[in-house]
Amino acid sequence: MKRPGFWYQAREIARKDLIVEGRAGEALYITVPFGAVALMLIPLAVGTDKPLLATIGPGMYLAVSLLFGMLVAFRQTATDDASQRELLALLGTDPAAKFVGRAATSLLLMLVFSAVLVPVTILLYNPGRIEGWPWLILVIGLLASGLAMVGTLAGSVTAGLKTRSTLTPLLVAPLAMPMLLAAGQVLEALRDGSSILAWIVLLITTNLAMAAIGVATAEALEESSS
Amino acid sequence: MTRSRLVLPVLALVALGVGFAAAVGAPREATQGEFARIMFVHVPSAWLAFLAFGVTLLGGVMWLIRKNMLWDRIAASSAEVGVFFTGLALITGMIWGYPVWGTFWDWGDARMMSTAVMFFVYTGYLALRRSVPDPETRARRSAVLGIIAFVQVPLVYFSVTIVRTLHQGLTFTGPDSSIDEGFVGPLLINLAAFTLVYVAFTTYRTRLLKIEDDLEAEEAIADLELAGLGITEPRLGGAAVDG
Amino acid sequence: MPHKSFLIPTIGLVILALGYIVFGGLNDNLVYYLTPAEAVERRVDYADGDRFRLGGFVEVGSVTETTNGVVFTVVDEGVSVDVEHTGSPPQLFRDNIGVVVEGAWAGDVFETDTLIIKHDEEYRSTDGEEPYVPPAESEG
Repeated sequence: MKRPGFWYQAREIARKDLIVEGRAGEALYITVPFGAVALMLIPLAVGTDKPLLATIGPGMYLAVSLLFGMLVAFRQTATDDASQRELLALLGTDPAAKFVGRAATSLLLMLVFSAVLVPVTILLYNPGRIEGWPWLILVIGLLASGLAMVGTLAGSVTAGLKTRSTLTPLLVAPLAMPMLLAAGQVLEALRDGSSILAWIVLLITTNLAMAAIGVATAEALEESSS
Repeated sequence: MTRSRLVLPVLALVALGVGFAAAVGAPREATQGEFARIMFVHVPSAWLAFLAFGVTLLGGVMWLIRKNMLWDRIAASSAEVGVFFTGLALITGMIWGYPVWGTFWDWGDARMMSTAVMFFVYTGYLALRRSVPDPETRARRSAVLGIIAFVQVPLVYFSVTIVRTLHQGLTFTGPDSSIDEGFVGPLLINLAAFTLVYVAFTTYRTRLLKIEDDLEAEEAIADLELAGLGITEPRLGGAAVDG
Repeated sequence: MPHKSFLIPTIGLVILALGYIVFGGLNDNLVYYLTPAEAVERRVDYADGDRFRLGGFVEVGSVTETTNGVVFTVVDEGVSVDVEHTGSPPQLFRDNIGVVVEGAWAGDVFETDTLIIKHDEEYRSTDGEEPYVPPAESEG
């Protein structure tokens, strides 16, 4: 029998993850409302100063997307336990395909997460029209895919640990900071009309670097359990 | 303890003393006055942090190739010392920044931000090490994290060249830099002294980790003899990996 | 190493992009501060009250203390901007030193409440109190 190709393996892994998520609903029914609640907490904490909220709104959206979006990437349902890992290894699954498939599912869920939070932000903060806003769709997409890959990497490094739920955010947050910085600077640049090209390049570069790291280290992370 | 083990720390202490004297004896800086002297701690700390994280990367990669626990211990020790030096560089920078810049911390300065990011990335690395009880799993996962974490270290170094920052540019290797000879000597002496401190810390910590591992293995055997093969000892440090 | 056909071009692209970012790309984009020339040129982009940072050197003899701060002129590349600072300036504030001020235009004057001293990578020794002369052109 012919061994299935790389993309076939990646697609099957992604399909499996989506089915599991469909059953548990961890990302869509738990993390999405949680993110919306977080966006509501900020005006309560800083006071209902409308011009201030309009100014900080887009930035708060980015911060909430990062802090809560990463919960999507390393949701419990996206981790294999030991027996699942062994079965995949026995089947000869390419570790890199596992990374790609998993990151793709996380990206898809994270895009849904980001998309739901956009109207919530607009309603709560009323940030007004941002010149050149279609660019923000690209930025949010790049942020989501970078975060999906960092989250998948950190999730596989902390898989199975008891401290996982607190340790993974600690690993992801600083690694994701350059992407948050770039996204925030795009907002600022759109506001005062300067060029955003370099920031987009930085976001794409981070994405490429994360993809390369994910594929390159996938093999090394495989554990031969006893 | 044998006498040969004392050589390195004694040497490091003496070098630190000489470095301190050289820093005090260095000329007064024209604009910053006495405040400039903090660079004799700040600059070596930052350089040693870069070196330490480089060694962590090397140790991790070598473990993945050779599977020799010594490399893992070197990587771990070096990361600990590196976090210490990064913290020292951040704190001395803030102490210097308040009188000289007029602010402890400046948002939007790429060097300060990226150094703080580096500090937290490697804090996460140390936290991961504490969380994994099994030595081989710990070595594998921290080796991979060591590779991921190192990606942004060159960005920290070049951050002052990439963007217009508050932090000054590369004093030694930058194109527009000029530093009076009076400062170069003391700075190099301090760099050498800090390097010795780094080597002493790292070798001691590596040796200590070996002793810890041996002790753990010995205790595990003793527990087995006491309780029989059917019973495993409770895990005290870190949390268990399932499966 | 498996997946060479993906890894080698990707890593190459990353290095190229990093090179672009380090040696040119971001320089003009992440503007930590504007020079006086840029600030005057882009006066229309920043309405009164729009905050940004302005960096340059304190013009010799331009510093006057007022009741609640200082008034001075920031100059670089031959263009100067009058600055009104509210609050006490840092210890090392003096003629000819590099400063970064944060604030907004108010007519022809730049009003600020944050004054930071910027040092370059030059270290000069001194025995007495020689005045410090900045280089002819500043970096960036």
